[in-house]
Amino acid sequence: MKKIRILYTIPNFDTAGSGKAMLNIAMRLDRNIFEPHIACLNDKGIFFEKVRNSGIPVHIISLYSPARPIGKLFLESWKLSRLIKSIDPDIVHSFNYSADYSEALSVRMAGKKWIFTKKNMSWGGGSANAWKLRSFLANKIIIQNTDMQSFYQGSKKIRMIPRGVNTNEFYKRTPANDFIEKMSIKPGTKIILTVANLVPGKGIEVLIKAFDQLIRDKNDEEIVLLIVGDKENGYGQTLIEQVKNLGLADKIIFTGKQSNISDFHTIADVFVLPTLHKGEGSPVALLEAMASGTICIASNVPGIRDQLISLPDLMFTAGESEELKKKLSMIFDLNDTQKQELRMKIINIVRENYTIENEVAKHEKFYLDCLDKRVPQ
Amino acid sequence: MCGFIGQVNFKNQHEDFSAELFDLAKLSINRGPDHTGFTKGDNFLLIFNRLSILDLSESGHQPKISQSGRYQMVFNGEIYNHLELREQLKEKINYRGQGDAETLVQLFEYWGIEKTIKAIDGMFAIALMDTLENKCHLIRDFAGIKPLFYGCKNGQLVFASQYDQIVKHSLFKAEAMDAQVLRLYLEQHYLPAPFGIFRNTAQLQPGEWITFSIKGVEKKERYWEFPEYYESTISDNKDALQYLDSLFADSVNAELLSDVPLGSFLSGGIDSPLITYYAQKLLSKPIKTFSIGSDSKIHDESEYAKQYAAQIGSEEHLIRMTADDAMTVWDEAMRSIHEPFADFSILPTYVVSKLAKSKVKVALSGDGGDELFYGYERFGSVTKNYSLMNYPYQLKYLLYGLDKVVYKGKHINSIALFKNSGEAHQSLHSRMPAEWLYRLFPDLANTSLPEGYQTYNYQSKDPQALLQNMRKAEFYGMMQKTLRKVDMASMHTSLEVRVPFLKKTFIEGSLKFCSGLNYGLMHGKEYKKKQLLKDILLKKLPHSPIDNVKRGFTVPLSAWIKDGLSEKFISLSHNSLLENFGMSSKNYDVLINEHLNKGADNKWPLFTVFGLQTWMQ
Repeated sequence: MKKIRILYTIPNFDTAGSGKAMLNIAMRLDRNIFEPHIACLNDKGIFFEKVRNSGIPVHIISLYSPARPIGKLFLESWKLSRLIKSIDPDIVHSFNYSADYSEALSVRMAGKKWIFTKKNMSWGGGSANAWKLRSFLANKIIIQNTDMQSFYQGSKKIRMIPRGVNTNEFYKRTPANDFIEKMSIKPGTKIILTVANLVPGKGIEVLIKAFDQLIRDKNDEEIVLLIVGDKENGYGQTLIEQVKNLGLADKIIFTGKQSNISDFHTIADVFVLPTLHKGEGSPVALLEAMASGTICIASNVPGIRDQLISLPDLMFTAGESEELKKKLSMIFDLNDTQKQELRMKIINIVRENYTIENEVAKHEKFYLDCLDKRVPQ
Repeated sequence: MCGFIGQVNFKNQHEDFSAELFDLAKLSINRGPDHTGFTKGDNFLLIFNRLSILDLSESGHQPKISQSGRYQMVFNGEIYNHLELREQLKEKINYRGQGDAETLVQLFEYWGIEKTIKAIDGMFAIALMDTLENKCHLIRDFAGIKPLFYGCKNGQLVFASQYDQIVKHSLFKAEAMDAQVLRLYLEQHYLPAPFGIFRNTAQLQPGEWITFSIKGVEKKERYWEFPEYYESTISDNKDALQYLDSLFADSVNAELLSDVPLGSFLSGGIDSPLITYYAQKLLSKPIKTFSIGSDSKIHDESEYAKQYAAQIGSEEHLIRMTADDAMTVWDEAMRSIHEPFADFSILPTYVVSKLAKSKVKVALSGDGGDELFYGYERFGSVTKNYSLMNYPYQLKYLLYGLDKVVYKGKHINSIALFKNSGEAHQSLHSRMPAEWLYRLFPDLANTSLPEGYQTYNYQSKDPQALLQNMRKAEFYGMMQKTLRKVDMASMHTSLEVRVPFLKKTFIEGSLKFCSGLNYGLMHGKEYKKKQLLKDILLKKLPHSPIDNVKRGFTVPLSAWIKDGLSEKFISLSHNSLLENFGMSSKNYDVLINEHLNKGADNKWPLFTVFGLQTWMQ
């Protein structure tokens, strides 16, 4: 049987986040049925080495056309459609998280199916019409959380496929000795952990405030907050200033960007994701914590509420530091059996719904459904 | 072969005992020099020193945590059937590595403890922390190959691979000595399970599972026990040899599972040549074999070992040592002892282990053969006059005396004078004359053996039953001492020793053979001993140099004590540790003086005293 060729498109692999998500799926597709290809604008970035070594054919091409003038849009899109025809994918799956619709136009002109993954909750502003057009041109749309459904009311195009986590990398395990030594944290210290791109909207300032309130309440306990993420930008510097003003520089540690997140989970007592109201798509950082058996507290916002729907006590109102502090205190006051029961529930949620294998299987079924095919026996 | 130590405080959570435990963990670093890992909860800490044998990557490291996080485990040993068990869970478990520790912890989670320990076959000491129910399970393998010690009091549990790690812990270092256990040690020259020489310390028995909780010992269970009496089903020699061949092939094959170089101990006897033969059959390259030769014409069997190596086609490594050479490693070998222990054959065991470790990381041994197949003289000694056992003592004494005068003791041995066979059997294992026991430790005069010591407490309705009872007693008696010796000597060199004779399926298979196939009660003729093993060896290696003489490397300890070791033994007088045990230094001076200057051979009482304190240094 001819294999189903999926052409994954992404602008670049400069920031590894979305590129990693795409590559994770592409590499795990059943090669008896599917044949993945990748198209991107350039081969820059450290992560591209991984892409190159994956064995998946990579096309360094631009599939985007200028939006104006409209005549040029159609002409360039027509030219690109010939290029796409020569690659001959069955489906083009876009991981471009912008509102670009030119690629969709080119693919449709080539007579191929075009789908995209809607990663986050951005819709409006100046690109509202672009999103509508992009969605109109798509054959199918993958959404990552239930809240996104409200933007596609009644549409049969959408399919929800939440993100999955690699449980070979994130699982309950003992901490590595060299990591313990490197962190130099006193034995018996309770560790609160957050992992995020440090950008506004992530609510880290709320967490810092809640932490400040918490340690005033529990002044006989050693507690530290580890903030893992690139701190060199403006938002990061603002947070550092906030910590300094609160006099908490010895208790709140900015680790900067780290590659070994799984090691941090082996020492964390609680993981917090305090995203503000706009929400997330399907936050993998939270899934990584859950898969590692770390007790999690997160804001009750789109994306997160799907993952913690069966554990509502672990969610707090976004932006409310007092409520977050109470949740943290509640966790620290649990006895060992209660904590262990909670950890087991959390791990089970991931194992049943949010593994990378779940995610890939759903994509495979989705591709087959797009083409009205069944799994070959 | 690895080492672990752990502590659980069931009552007072959040106590930090890491510093002390990490210090004590260093005492077993030789057992596991490749990696140290730990896992910590609010009320427990498990530390593991790894000797990497299977799955050399990080995914083979321990401690291990089950998929849900509920169970946290440390395990020393090998599970030989783990791949077949792992296969049964492959739909449920996302395995990350290839090692047996990962298989084991997931089995505990999915099957529960009872089903798992009955399914596994291997050698193991396991500590399993159930974080959901706040319980700790300690489990020891059915043959007692791997040691597991513990101390428990006031809601605290400490467990470890070595006894010294328990008694040096702050919770137990001030514990009083148990006089009954001291007596047991002095008579048997080692610490039989379940005893510890200090109060509130103990060790698991072979085939035992103990559950600890806030209540202390919540449950104790022998999940496997050597049967007292087993109905033999194979009485035909040909059938027996065929079946035995399959047992060997299966057992040795399973124990070749290794990601590191593996070899075999090879003596000039019967058991280790058999193991080596079967191993070589399964390997594509010559197996490395390790033998030791001595300068004693009576005891040296290295020539026989060489012959076997040539017939088998192994790559032979022989260390030929004089007694003087062996003396130079005395201190090093004695440092391998971590509990009261007095068997100086630990010295050659240590030497051959060191030789093996220079070439391989795992070695197969022939231990267990003499127990399962009636290889010891004492089977004959005790069964010889079974019919006289119930006679009145005076009559037995008369007959014994007459036989001595008329027949020079040919028909009746002194064993017949004992009250019962069990007592006689037990006495054969003691090299401490009662006279010296009481003179050296006068306080023990009215001290009995511990009530729980029942190894030789058996009744036999006929000679066949007696043989089986003796076999079981040897399994839980002398064999445990041998296994302990090998464990201590080999672990000190970071060598893992495997025992194919003691794989569970092999043990259970060996019970099927009618004892007459191995052991002959033949009046007027020489007893046959472990005949089946000899038969199969001759079948496989027709030129085997078999005789009925049991040799082995030995050391002239008596002479050494008079010579190079005299200072070490003299200095035991007024040793504070020994005096705390109740030793009379005055009488010890008499003992050593008689040995040094009056021609007495007191090596055994002297070495037994030596072994009582050397491990605490």
